[in-house]
Amino acid sequence: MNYVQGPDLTPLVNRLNTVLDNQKVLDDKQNMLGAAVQVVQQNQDRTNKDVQSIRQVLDAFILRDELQKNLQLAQTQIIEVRQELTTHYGHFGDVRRLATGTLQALDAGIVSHGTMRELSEELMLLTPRYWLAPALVALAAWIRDDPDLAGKALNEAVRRDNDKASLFFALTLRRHQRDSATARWISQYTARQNPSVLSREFTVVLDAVATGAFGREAKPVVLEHMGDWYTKLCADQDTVDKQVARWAQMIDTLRRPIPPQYQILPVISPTWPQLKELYEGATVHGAAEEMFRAMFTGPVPQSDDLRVRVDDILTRLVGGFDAEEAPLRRKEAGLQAIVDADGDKVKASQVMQVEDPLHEQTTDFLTLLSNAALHGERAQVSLGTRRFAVSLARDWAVQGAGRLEAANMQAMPNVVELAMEGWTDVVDGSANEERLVQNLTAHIKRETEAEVAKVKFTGAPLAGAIFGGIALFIALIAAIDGGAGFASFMLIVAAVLGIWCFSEVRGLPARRAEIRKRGAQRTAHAVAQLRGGLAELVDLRREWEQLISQAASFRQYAESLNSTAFVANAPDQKRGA
Amino acid sequence: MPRPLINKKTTTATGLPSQQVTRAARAPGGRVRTDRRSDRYVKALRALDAGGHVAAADVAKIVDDVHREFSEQYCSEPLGIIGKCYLGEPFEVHTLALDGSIIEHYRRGESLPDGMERARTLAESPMYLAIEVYADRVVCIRADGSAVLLESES
Repeated sequence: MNYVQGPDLTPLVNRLNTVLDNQKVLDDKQNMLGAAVQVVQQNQDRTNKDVQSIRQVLDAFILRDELQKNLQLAQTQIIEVRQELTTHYGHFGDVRRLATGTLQALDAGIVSHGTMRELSEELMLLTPRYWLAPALVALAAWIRDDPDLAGKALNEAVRRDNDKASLFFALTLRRHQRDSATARWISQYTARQNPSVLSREFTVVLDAVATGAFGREAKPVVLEHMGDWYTKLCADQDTVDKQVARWAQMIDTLRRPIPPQYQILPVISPTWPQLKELYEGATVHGAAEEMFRAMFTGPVPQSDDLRVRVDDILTRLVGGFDAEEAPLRRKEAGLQAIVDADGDKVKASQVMQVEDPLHEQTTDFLTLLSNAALHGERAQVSLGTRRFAVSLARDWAVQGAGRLEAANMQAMPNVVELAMEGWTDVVDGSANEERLVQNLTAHIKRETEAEVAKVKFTGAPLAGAIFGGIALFIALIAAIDGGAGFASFMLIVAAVLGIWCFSEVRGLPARRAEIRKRGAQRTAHAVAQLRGGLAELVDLRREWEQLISQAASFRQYAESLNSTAFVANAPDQKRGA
Repeated sequence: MPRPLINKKTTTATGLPSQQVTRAARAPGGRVRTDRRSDRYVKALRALDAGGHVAAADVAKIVDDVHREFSEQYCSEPLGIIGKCYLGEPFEVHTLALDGSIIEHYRRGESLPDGMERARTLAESPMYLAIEVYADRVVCIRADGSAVLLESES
């Protein structure tokens, strides 16, 4: 029996096995390389994060360093300004102290007339151009009953500064209950005033009215003038507008930050900055009411002794309103603002801008009222006066808050946009949570299916299959033609390609399942985010409604403040006194 | 009698300036009322939205009440008044143009004439009964008649 001896395929099979082994080794190496690249990627990410955090630390350091330098510079400069004030105007301080000192010495009756005369005349020589020096000479002369010198000194004081001297003598006379003389000084003082360009010392008159330091005769004179000015200036819309704008600006500074509980909405909504602005803008009304209630609650700390009350006002009159010192005082205030803001020049300049009208030499009556109401101690007024001024300025506060409320309403976005996982939608009046969830789920499902659809038998495996088929065909042709060696080789090629294609096809369902699994995880996470974000939106809306409703409460409270209720009676003219 | 150098103001029998002065003040810069509006005016504003069935005579009365509200105080008169429309979808706001004295209802997306569009958002808010639109100002009127003058847009 003849056996046809076929070609020996063993070496070829061995070679084929070697090729397959090498391919496996190559695959392993490729996997290792992939893992190494991933490690490099992770390292790079970590390095980036580190660089970012270093940058943040560096930025914070530079900022802190700059603030520190600003603070140190401001502290040094403020000392220089104060030294300059002491050098140039320090002697004013002696005269100022002598003013109330003389009056109190007169009360006690323990200082000789000679000493008073000597000291006042010496200060007159030492402080040229200062109005208070001749006023004190007049006071000393009046005390020792020297009408000639008193008259001359008084004329000199009035010549140097008519307004301040008039107020000084009016208050001094009131201290000794010479009410009709006080009324005469006051009426000629007020008649001279132009309500559009009042000097800053008019704050003293406001203080005297509110604290009841003026007597029965002077008070109605001042109140009548003030009433006329108020009516006249309120008719000028621009002047009133300025006050309303100032109140709006002040009330707007009372904003409170949005609570940190809102964490999802900032991530999923591009409308978040507007929502935050809306929320924070609505917080000012409650804060304004709290501020007003705190200001109007509790007794006004003031003495029952008329002399103490008048002395307080006199001290303010002689101490705080001299035009010569004003530029240095303004510089001092600017530097103090930088110190108060811990070196933050931007914040300090904002504060100075708000306080700007406080440093003007002349203001209109309404601005003066707002200064007293808004800045209290900084405008050198007592709490009682501040209450009086606020109650007069209440309409502007109400209008200012109303403007902020309207601006807040206008800022409300028509729709809240949502953007996550490449999906965008809006929440409007007709929005429904389930519909949004369905839309999001459908979006992620679409994306997942598109990804799954990409996993199919295409590309290299398909080409491999085709070439495998061709190789098989060629092997058959070669076998028929008798080319056994070539046929065997092509058969092996076809087999290799066939095995490879088979392994690829077998891996497809697993890859699809993996993508679907990831899609399901994505959906679960995104839906949770969406539901959380929508819940936060509902909370935000509810809180905002609550906050904005406090505007009505603030309005009601501010409108209930009646200015006449905050004018104190004079201690010597209380009922039953 | 010498000829007056400027046009003489029209005066009424009482010697007070007539409504012409008020009308002239509608240009930018006139005095805009910021005090609480009268009950009569608030009632007129409410009547604007009486279900879209306002008779011609009633419209005349409403317009008359609105004119009186401003002429009695010698203040600027608004160009128009916008309010939230409760006719239901698709209507959103209604306007009363004081020139033509016509009440118009506007649908969602339909733009308002004469610069009134800027006050639309405020008009849609339930917080305000109506919004008065002036040449350079907007005044929001609350249900209790209190008013808020918004900042000048110039």
